[in-house]
Amino acid sequence: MGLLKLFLSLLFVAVPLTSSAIQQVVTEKAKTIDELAKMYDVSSCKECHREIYEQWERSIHARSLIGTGRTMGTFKRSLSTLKNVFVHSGVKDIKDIKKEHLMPCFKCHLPQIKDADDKVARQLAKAFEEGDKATLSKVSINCLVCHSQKAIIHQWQDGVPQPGVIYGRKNGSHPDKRLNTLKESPILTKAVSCGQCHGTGPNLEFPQPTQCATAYGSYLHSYIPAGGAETCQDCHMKKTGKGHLMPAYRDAYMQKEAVDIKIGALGYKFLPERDNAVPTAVLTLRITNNAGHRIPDG
Amino acid sequence: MDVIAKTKDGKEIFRDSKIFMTQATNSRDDSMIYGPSFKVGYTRDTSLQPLKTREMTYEIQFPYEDTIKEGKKIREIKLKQMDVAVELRYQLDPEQGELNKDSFVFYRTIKTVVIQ
Repeated sequence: MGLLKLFLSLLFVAVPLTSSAIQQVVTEKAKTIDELAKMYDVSSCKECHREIYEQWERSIHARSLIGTGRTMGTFKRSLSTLKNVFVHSGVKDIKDIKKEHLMPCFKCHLPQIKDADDKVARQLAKAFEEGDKATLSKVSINCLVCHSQKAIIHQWQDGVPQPGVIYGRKNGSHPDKRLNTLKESPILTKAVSCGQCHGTGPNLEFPQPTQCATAYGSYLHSYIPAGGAETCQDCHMKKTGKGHLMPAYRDAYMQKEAVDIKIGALGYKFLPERDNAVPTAVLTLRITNNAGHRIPDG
Repeated sequence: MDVIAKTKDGKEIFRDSKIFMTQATNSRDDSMIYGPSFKVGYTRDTSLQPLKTREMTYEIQFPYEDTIKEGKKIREIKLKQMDVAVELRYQLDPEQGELNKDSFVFYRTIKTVVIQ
């Protein structure tokens, strides 16, 4: 009996310890924008990747909820649409908002919302309605979105992105307290990496579809069939020399490279019928799109 | 894209605008619509396609006047030179707005056309 009691005692001690050893790490969802910002804080990246960080800081990715000004306005209008037009959305007021109502936009503009709860969605909705740029600038598409959350798309082959791992072009250690392992992402230098957000067409997976960027669709279905062989990264990062700024239509170099225009001009007297010479200027324009996708698109 | 012809002293004698863009509906009716919350698919696409060349021809008449003198039609060409400006802009909205904020010039040139 004594031996049994001892055995049972040991069992009750051993089992919980074993359970917690194999237990998965449970992450608590962020309840405030500040908590989400802290969860996705990338300020330590600047210590070693200063140039890249400073390029990113000036990019539109770094202000994905504000954008060029139109983005913020579009979010605000979308909230009004939810309340007043999409009558079956369940949203009459900000207090009704859940993450799912903003996911059609946040899928791309703030994918890390998956690690926040509905309270954060409501806080962001309020910030959009109030035009609160200071709040909206706290979270954006940063290093951890592309180099962690969206670094693995073949998840049945490669597994899901792991905590404590930053994804780049090789495997090894990474001198950061939080992200101390570097693993290779097979897709980071491929167009599909950008295509996850820069879209192919309508997002039909949502209860109410949205359609924003479709540049990747144009890349796949027009550029590639026309014999194009470059990636988004080739044109928007390498050729510009501006890396993680990823310039586009606002950049003078990209504007110049985007299209070739040749113009022929002729002045003569056109004779469509006898005694009717019409003095005519003829302009022939040839516009060639050199980009990897239709223009305009995004 | 705007093509605008003017006389030497700045009088406009021709104007044409072309819009290159994808045109979406909500896939419920046939009205073009703006806004990511509403767009579902495209009904027409006039945008510039990758690695493709679009060719356009403009025929612009020089101003002239016909009179009858001694039973014969005399055509007087009022103008023998015009300046044709071609401007391709990337616009974020249907309205041109402020340059380098709401719209961006990708290409701009002026061609002078002369007849004898």
